[in-house]
Amino acid sequence: MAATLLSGTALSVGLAGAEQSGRDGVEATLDGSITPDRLPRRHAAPVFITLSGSIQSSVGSPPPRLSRIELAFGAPGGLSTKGLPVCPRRLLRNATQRQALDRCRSALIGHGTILTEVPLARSRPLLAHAAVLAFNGEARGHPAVWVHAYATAPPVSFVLPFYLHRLRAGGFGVVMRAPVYRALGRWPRLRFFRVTLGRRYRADGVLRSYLNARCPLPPRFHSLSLPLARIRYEFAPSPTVSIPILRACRAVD
Amino acid sequence: MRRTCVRILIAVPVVALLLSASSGAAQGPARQEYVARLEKICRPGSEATQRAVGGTRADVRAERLRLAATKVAKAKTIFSHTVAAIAVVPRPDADRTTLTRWFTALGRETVALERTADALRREDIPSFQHRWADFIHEGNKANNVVVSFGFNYCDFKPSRFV
Repeated sequence: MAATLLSGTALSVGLAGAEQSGRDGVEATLDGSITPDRLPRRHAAPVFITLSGSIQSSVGSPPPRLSRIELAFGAPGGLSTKGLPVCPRRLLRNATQRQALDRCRSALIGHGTILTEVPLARSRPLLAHAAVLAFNGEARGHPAVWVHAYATAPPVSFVLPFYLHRLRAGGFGVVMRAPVYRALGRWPRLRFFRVTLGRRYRADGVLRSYLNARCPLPPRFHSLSLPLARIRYEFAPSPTVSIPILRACRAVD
Repeated sequence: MRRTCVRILIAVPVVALLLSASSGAAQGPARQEYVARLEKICRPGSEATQRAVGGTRADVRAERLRLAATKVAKAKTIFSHTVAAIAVVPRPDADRTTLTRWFTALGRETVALERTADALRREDIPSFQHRWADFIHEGNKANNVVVSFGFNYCDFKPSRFV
């Protein structure tokens, strides 16, 4: 009952100010914000980005299986991993949150919460509200983010791998893709997530930031709604739901 | 003679549309059928909008605001025509209330788009910033009303405008 109440709160929070999209009986949302909310026009400044999303069915039955999730955000050149320690993915497998932190604290780049559902019985699906930590990783020479989720009741520990690609063209600078089905298997199913990414760190004596952004508005403009992020939920066998979000970009001189 | 033929060609689909609207009003189509019908109407408008507003973002950044105004005004005309075309399609009985709310929201979106174009035409940047934010907000609100319908082309997608 407590888990159900908790999940209800999380979902309603997720839906409140978020953009929604639906297709073939699936309703999905995406919300996001950037901190600080005022950014320089010309040079990039360190930022933290918070993204949250939810998935639910509009027809009563559990939503179809999520096979892949793709998240695009930032501007070209906005991601920096130079000198940031890398956490090997194997160190996070079956780890509690404390063990994950003990092993990879220096590679920590984010935190959040996640709600997953195991629809064992249609009327009473098992809900797991897990704490999430995000660590800087590497896969085949490319940056990656290992999202480690851990809950005690019911016991849940898994690693969702996001593979990062820097984009040179288009509206976004970074795309993160996670093969959800390959990583999690048939259960559990993602219902809600909220994650904050960002990290200030020192490397080679220089203070750096994992994420950087600017607000490139013309001189006479002070605020304008611009694309912040886009999510693509790919369900198997269908549908694919894509949600772009725009947020106010506020410039400081 | 040729002019008469053209008039007949235009009149026949309009009459057919009105007839189908009145005959369907008594019973109303199923939601799936309704969505398919609207998507067919929205698709050309959505594609034409994308073509009409191409380069608007660069125009705004370069402060070519009157040029941007022309493009946004064209998008508004396309949008209004599309809304008028889908408004006459018979609605599923069970969804009448929801769809009334949606069409009200689409009306507000049309007004917000018109005001955005107007602010650009006047080169009033503070007003444009405000109206543009309104337009995005109204669009999202309209989407949220009909999220369970699963529209694609009839959904508000800000990416079509930026």
